[in-house]
Amino acid sequence: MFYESEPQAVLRFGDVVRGYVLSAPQIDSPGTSPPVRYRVEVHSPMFAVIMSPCCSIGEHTLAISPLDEVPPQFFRNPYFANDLTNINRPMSAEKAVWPDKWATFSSEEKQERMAEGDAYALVEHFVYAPHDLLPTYPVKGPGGPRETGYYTVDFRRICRIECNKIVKPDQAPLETKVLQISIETRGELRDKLAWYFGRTPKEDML
Amino acid sequence: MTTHDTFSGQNTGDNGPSSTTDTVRFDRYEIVLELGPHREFLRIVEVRVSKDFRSVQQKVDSVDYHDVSDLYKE
Repeated sequence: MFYESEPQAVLRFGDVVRGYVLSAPQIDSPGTSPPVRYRVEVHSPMFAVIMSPCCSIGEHTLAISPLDEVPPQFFRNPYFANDLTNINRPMSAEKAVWPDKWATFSSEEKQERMAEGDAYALVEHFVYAPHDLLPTYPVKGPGGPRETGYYTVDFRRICRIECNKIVKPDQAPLETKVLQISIETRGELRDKLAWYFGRTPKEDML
Repeated sequence: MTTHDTFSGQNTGDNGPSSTTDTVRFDRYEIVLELGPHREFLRIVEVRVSKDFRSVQQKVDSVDYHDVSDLYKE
């Protein structure tokens, strides 16, 4: 079960929400203070996901990320195309690429990749399953155009918003809440997000 | 056709059982609770030991990644 069948009347980590505005500064000449050329682009995504941990929702501040359509390239891999939420969990190296691509690797490369064991792929993404409240959209996959209801959160696009109505998780604009993910799904989101920010880069490994 | 109440999960015309279960994690245990239609506590259904004893840090340290992101770029 990807979503909670009975959402709670509180804002929680991983909730799908709507009605928020996001912004991203575009800096053309960083390095000077203040930068000489910059602009701020504002957009209002149809849906966004709460990325603040449950206990950190409040004090008029919230971290959210837009809920985007899934890149069509993800459908190249039949293991993903069968259930795109497989991207959310560690997998074998062979499942991380499509069969034709796997066949191009040498035996040595296959062994090296398999030696990694089960691991995350597409590390910046966490995919949300289809739901009646999320509209489907067309994608062009290798098998031709298709309708899909999958969406994805890209951890690189998390941003902060401020809203005076957000006081505590249960003192917040609950009318913006659309869906709540299940405990199991929230655990998977927490694990992948913690891994994304907590991994040690190979060059720092002693 | 029915209308759906997002927060209670009840559909207009539904007459089925209105209780649900929710799982709460406490330390190394998972407690399955039965909740009423307004999420009020009814009873403890089950207490079980969580099978995943790893801390978040242990999970992070134990998982690597497959370097395939470039293959999925247009």
